Amino acid sequence: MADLFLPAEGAFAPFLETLSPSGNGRLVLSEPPARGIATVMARAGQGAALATRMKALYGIDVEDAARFVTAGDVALVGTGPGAWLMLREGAAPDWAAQPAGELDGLASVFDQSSGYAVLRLGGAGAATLLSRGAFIDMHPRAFPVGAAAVTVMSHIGAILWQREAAVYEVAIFRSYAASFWHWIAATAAANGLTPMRSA
Amino acid sequence: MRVKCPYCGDRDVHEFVYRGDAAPVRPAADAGEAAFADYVYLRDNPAGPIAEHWYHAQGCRNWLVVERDTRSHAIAAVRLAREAAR
Repeated sequence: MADLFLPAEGAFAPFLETLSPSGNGRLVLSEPPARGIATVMARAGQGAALATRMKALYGIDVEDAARFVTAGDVALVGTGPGAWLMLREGAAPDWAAQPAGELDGLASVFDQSSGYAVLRLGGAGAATLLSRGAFIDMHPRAFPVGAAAVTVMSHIGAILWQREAAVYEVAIFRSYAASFWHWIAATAAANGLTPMRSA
Repeated sequence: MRVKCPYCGDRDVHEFVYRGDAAPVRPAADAGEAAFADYVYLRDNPAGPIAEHWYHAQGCRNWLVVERDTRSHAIAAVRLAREAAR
């Protein structure tokens, strides 16, 4: 049987294509490079052992808090007590089987790579835009680099984090991409922001 | 109204699902119908502080125990239900 290869297609790609690659840079939208996404949920009473194992395996300092931490090609986004979204840059489609095995007995790991769409928002207007959707304080003092939140934006469940200064990423369920984009476009316009795509 | 989730921080009330009084404890299986009827149906209706179960559905997806004053809606404390149960 011939091997099938389906190239990863970003959920926001058709929308991003409608944007100009030039502009004032106050709101720059893009999709992060392809990455694996999985939920990691600690088994009862195994939180400390899990943190030790993940530090040894991935060199990452696990925080049981609503935080975004990264080490090398692995990142963790805290989504609840003892629960994280694990991101792995450039991961193969079947990548989640590896951490599931490596963390066996300490955590349950389930692949979500095809379930979430992630949009990256950069520029001085990104926090303003997000603050129009999430009912949380997006000022850098309250939501600094490394902060993460599970919340709802425009009735759409969203996981967001500030990756680096004025660079945010929002993960939503993939099938909501068109609805979320509609909200982005309308809210940007209402706040005088003209989104551009990164070249 | 805002609820300060122990994990997520200060959040709008629309992210939460309200369940009710956190005080009732499920009776033993052989406690009889009267005990179960009380457990299922009878609720105090205090004017003042009450501990209630709230679910942070649009956040960390954890059950919380919220101590709220029914006269003012002032919230005195919020704990994870899994920790409150200990």
